[in-house]
Amino acid sequence: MRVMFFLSVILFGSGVSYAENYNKKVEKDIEEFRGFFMEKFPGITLDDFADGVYAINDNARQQWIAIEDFPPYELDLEEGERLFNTPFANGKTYGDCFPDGGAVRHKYPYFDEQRKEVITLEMAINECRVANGENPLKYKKGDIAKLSAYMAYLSHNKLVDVRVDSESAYEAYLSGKEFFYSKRGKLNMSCAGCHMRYTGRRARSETISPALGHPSHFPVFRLKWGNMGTLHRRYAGCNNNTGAKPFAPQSEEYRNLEFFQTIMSNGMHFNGPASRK
Amino acid sequence: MALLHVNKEIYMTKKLIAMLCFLMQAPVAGALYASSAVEEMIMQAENARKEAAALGFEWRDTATLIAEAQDFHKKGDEENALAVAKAALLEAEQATLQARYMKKHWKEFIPEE
Repeated sequence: MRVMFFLSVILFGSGVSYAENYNKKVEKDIEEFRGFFMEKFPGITLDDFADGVYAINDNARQQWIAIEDFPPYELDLEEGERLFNTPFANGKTYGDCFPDGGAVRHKYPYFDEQRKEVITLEMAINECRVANGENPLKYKKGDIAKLSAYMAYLSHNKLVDVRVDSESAYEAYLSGKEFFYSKRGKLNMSCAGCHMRYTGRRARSETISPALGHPSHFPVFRLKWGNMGTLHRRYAGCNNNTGAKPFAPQSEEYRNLEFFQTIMSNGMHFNGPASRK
Repeated sequence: MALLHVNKEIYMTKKLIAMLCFLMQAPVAGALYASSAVEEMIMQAENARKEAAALGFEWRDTATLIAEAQDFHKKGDEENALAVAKAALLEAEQATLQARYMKKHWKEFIPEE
């Protein structure tokens, strides 16, 4: 009995220390990542970065604040609320899948230890639909972006706190990290190339946004799109712009990238949905 | 002797016809050769594209270039078909090189302020 007790203490203890090790490794990355931006843009606080490019470009910020007086996503938010509360054919609603009335944006993405993969909010929305006998929605825009926007709105100001508690989760994190720093496409550019090295500089008429805090404000209503879009829609657009073939939204590659990027934003607050140029 | 003369004439005529036939086939054979070279190039480009895709580094336009080469080929425009297929192959090979390089060196691209 004593042997069993000590064995369980050792096993449990080692599990905890492994989890701590993974989180320690990640913490070190966060510190360096955050340090890069703090040094590049002195005087800007961590939470300011949740405003994306509007944290570092005052002129654009003033225009954005004026736009946010009458947010272009307001109707989509209302539609998102209506969709959320509309019963499926079986009489259930999204509220039966998501606790707290849908205020769960801050719980995604997370690494599912049973399934050994990253689960995003949009993925969970579609899994809820399928579990209730409905067809899945398309992932880039439309109803899924409206639902996600409504749920993000409900989770406004909640803390970003994504954990890496196992080797598998750490592997997913590393895969996202590798994607973020790897140059790809005809233009040989990486996410980091634009949104770290060249952030603050111009790409034609636009200032390039900092990567720190990117996932905090999605989904966004982009004026260029003229409607709401998900983070993976933006990923696909970025890859396309650099001459790389985009991955499918909610592919393992993009989910791992979202996992990595959200972890880099740990300690910030969710402030989506938002409008962007 | 006369018979020999006639035979010689027939022989010469046959030889002439054979030469004419050969000369007439030359462009056809040339076209067939060009056609198979294009098909070979398209196949190589497609295989290279698949390799880059498997590594997760396919470029945006490679598949479009291959489809374009196939269109030219179908229309019998082998010169353009070959040029576009070559461009597709080059893209796909560069994408694969990029993938292999990045797999080994991605950490070197973490910017430091």
